[in-house]
Amino acid sequence: MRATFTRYLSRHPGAVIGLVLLGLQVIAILFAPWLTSYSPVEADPLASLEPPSLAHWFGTDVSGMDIYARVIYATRINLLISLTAVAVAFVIGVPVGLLIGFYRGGLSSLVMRVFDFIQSFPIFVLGMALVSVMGQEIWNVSIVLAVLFIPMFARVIRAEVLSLRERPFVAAARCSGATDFSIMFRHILPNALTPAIVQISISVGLAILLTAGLSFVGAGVRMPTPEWGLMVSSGAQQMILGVWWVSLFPGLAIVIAVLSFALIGDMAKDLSDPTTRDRR
Amino acid sequence: MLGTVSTGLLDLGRRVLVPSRSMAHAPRLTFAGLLAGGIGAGLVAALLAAPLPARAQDAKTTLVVAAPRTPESLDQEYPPTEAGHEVRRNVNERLLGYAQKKGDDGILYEDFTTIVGVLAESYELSPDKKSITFKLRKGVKSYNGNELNADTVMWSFERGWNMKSNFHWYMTQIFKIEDPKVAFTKVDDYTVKVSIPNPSPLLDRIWINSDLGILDATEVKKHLTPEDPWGARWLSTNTASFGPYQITKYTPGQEVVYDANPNYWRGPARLKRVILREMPTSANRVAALQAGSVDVAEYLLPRELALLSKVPGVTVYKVFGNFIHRVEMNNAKPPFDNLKVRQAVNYLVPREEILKSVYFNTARFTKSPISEIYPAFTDEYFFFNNDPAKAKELLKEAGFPEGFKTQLAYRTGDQIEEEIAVILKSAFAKGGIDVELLKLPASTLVERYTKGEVPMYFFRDMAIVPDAAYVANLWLNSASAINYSKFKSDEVDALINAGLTSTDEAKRVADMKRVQQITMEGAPWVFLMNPGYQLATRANVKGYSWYTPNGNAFYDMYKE
Repeated sequence: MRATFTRYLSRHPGAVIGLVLLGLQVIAILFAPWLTSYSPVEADPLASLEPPSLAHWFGTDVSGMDIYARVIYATRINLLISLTAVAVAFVIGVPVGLLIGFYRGGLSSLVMRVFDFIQSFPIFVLGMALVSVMGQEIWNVSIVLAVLFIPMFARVIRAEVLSLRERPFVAAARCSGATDFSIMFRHILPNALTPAIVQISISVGLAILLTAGLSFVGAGVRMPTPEWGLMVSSGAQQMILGVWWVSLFPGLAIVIAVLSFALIGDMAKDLSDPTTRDRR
Repeated sequence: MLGTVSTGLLDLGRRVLVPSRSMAHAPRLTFAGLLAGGIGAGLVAALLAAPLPARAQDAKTTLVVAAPRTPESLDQEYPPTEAGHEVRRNVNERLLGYAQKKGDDGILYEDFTTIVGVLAESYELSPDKKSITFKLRKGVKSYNGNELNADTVMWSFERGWNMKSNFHWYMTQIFKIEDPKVAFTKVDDYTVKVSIPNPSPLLDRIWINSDLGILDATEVKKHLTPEDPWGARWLSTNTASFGPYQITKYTPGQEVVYDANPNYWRGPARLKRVILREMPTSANRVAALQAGSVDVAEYLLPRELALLSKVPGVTVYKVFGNFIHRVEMNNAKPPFDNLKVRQAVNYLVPREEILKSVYFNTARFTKSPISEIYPAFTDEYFFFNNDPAKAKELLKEAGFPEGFKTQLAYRTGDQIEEEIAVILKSAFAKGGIDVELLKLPASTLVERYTKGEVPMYFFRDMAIVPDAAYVANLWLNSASAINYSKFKSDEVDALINAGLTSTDEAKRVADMKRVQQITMEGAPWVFLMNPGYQLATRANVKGYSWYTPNGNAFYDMYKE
């Protein structure tokens, strides 16, 4: 397994880049207080909108807050929101998908229609509506994203289960006296998980974008919380004045985060697919 | 080539039917095609030739304004807003006005010491200041051609009274009128008298307010229905008055078109048409002004104005103005019901830093609840400096040695308020006060602070009557509907009530100074800045004037 992984990395520089970028984010999360001496939320009005310099590597925003410090600390907030949302969606979506795939009937159809209802809304508009109802808290943004992602995981798992439940090994398990619970969780789930695991990295990237987007339009977290979308938004007003640094650096951080999860998603897909894994 | 050329369109169609020999293998020409082409060519030629001077004329007489929002309603009885004030200033003509004087900066200002007739040719105050008689101008016509007379004025009063909104508020709160039949009387076809129960020093100057415009009753009455006896629905989207403009197109959220009143009593406006476009983002208004696609950009950020003042072809007007931008605290609920807490919060404000970084030194510290340009203003009682140690001491005395948690609300989309809010959060933290910032849509914010649901919130307002008792009555009288901070002082209430009825000017000034002293010591608000009023225009836009409601008066403006 380890050899396969090493061989894969040696042949796929994209995956290496993805891991390196993820590593940078992990470092930012773990060592933020040691990476900057500035507070990410303390205003210094007299240092307002200073361009990048040795004192402020990424410059300062309108309130005089150090953008480098805010970009570093924002990694915690953005990834916390995104990973929490995806984790919750995975934990709920996978069993639900398993159940509605295994037990086809009225309840299963009803659940699918509920998912259709959720997914028929433009995801961003629904996100804005839910956040405005629940309040602009970090955890609320996470919960909203989780609600949006649950149908994705459930659908992926259900599709797999619908195919797997007709396979001979399921019939064999049933003949040997296995209960439904045992069949679902011991026999079907391990075989159905692969696409859901690939979906995780795609969803994390999407969650990062949605979090940033919600904050950009004022429906995400509150000022002065360090959050990339909020930072891009607060800098957008200054672009016309030639102040480019307020939006640029958090914008790059979003690109790096989303790109890293996209590349890792590709890697997960390749490694979990026996046909492509063996070829590579 | 074609065999012949004609100048007449029909003639052209007939003659081109016969191509020359050299056109024998050219694509076939049809009569209809040629006729259409001929008409098109003629139209283009006509457009290019004849209207050139006319188009240049249009450009000179049309003003395009970029504003943060279109007015919420066109009815003068709608609660006052900045956008609404601008409509009233340009559309609804009043009975009286201030004379104008040119400032050293070339801007036209109101001369608060000289009241002149507008729709009233003259007026007479009774010696006891309990009645005022207006002699109306004759021959004044509205945009629709209807003439002003006493009946028009009386109907406007009747409507205002029965709508129970702005007019009613002035009459009952300022003049203490109880019976409209006694108060408003028609003397003859061009004379109207207003009588009030008590003397009022404001009996003449109140009628200068644009909220008290005289409507074209003849026109409005055409649109009344049994369900809408005062035309509230029609006037919310239409205008009818005797002012310099009529609104001929109103698309909320997009555009308002003002067309000049050709019958205006002072002569038609030089700008025949004013198009106001909604551009909520100030950066877009800046870009449009720089590109020349608009002539005027309203309500820009100080940082943007600093940039534009260096741009060739753009003029930035800056006036002292009467806006007061503050954070109000709910004085009726803990912890801000404690005087020492309110004072402590004021000691934590880094005013110098806010002035430099947010306002680019274009504002002044708020040192009184009264605007600096109004009579009786004094700043001698302002004593708050940035002193976190003093603030901590006060908080300790108030029983909050470790500070407390609270909320500060500001309007979505208001960049200035967001910038100040972030600075205040950091500054208040030095006193142990943990502030949660709430960014709320304007309507939600208003709803929540009117219900007393937000402990601290931003509030920007101006009082349009240049009188200290009037201003104090608005914001500090405990009986006032817009004293949202719930400040209550029996002495202030008594002084304000006396100031609204006393005609002894020296005593009024002394009383209002005492009101300012009590207010500064009582610290009902976090005193911040008087931001002034600024306007950016293309350099060829001239004649800018400033009035207390801060709405731009397009009648005074013109393009070179």
